[in-house]
Amino acid sequence: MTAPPDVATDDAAVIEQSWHEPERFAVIYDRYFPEIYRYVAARLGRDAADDIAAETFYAAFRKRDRFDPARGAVRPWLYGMATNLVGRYRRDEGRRYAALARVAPESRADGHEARVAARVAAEGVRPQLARALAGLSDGDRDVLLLVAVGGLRYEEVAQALEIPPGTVGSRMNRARRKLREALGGTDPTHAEENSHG
Amino acid sequence: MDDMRDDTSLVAALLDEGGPSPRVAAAGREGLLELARTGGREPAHQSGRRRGRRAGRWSGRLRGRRPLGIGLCLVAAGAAASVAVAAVGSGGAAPGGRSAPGPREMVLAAAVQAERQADGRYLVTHVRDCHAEPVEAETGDYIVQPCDETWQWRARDRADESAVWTRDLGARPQTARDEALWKRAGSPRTFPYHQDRRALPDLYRTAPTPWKEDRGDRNENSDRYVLPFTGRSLTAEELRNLPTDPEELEKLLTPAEDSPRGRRDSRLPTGPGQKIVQATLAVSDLPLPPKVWAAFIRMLADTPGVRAVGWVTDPIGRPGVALEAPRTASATGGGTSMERAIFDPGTGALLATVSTVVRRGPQDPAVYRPGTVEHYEVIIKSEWTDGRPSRPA
Repeated sequence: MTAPPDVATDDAAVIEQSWHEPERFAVIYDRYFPEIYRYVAARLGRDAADDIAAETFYAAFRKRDRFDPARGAVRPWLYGMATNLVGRYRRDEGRRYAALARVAPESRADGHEARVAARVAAEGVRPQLARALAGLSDGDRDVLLLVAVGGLRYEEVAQALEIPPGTVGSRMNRARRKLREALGGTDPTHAEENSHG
Repeated sequence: MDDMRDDTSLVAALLDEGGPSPRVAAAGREGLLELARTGGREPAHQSGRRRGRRAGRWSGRLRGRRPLGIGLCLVAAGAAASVAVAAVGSGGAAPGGRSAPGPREMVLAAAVQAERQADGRYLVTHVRDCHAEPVEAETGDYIVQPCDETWQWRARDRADESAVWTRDLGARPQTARDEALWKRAGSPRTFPYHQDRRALPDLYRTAPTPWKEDRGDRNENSDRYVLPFTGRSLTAEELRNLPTDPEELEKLLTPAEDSPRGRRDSRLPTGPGQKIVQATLAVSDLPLPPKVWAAFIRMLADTPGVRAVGWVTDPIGRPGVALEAPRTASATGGGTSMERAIFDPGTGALLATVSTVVRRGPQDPAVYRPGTVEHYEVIIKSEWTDGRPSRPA
């Protein structure tokens, strides 16, 4: 599926078309499924993401007539729905971080060099980082991971979570402060890149 | 925002699990197209997965056999377990006439009572879920029992009308012996998650929390009802017309051979007690018509290996009649438990399910011993109303 130049406008048009031609919604799926999957998998693991990533699109499909382009773009709307679904599995998410704090990392296929570098750095502080994530409030963690994993801008996070932009900023600051405290002055930052597919 | 990149890229790298496999992407797309074709109704093979709201319930029942990335069918089923069961209100019928019928007759009599219950527009349920959490202490290990409650209502026929409220009751030492050990340990007010004390040092607390509505679940009532474990879902119409014959009903509650859920079930425990757990979960989220509920009780009573045990008391002291059967964890290291379903003899309503340790598995917490109640769920209330419910009292 080739995205037209103005994807945001086109996304909205596709959703509107899907009111009458439901199959058109597959265009939205094809565009965003990989990244929504990646986001959910980051929070709940692949096993859960196998189900919940698709659930996100089913929920979006069912609510497609409530999508309002005046309130923002389709992508953050999808991330908001994914975040809502993830929110139903808080304890599983907590257990995942608990396990990350403890378990030796499996080798995972990872092509991008910069991401490998970031991963190496992350492994060095893995227990602290995972514990810090577990210790964040739900709202702070949502904001942090929408930015860190989803790559959303503050205004997009605000749209996704339906909260004011100022709240996004304060939650993000709080989350990052806690991460820093948890890392206890270590400076493992060799990473320079945070692109996400 | 440059300095922020360092923190956030570390987090992203730590959590990265990669993108979807082609198979998963294709299956999801197929599900979406099916949804599109059916005009927005949930595809049957996906529908059970939305319910995973309270995955933590399985901490007791699964006892951490898969602490990470728990298969969604399990998560979904666990959540379904949170929702009360019966298609009938629980009324406290006195246990009279106990000399005449045998245990099996008593359960079957409850089924007859179930047939007579009336239903209404909304099913309101109030469920308590508790499990045994082992706590390590230098002064002696003990068990605390964290409990949470779910109060929920949902419309029988109309989609998008439902609400869910939850609260924690506060963890307490499970037995008098546990209480003594808890005091010896200094009466701590928080307890760690036993599978990772460092990461979750205070997951459970003695302090209760107030009722809180899970707004994300407001009006999430699907227009299809799900049969967890089975890979099937039903419209409200189909639900009204479920078979009232126990054998026909059993076929519907047995996982379809080719469903992905069927494959995942290989991880699940075995034995007739599993049938009690599985069947109870399968219908626990459904406003079943009274006659179907009656068929369900008969089906369980007829299951080979399931035995009737006559009068028992449920975990909150209500008298009932029970069916029970053993269940063995199939995963290595799992032990054997006795699974019990307790019914109200006056209404046929399910009062509770209780899981008790019979033989501890090598991977079970050392403090579990034969007789330890590792998990239970109590349906405090399950009743039909015609007026639209609001919030827990």
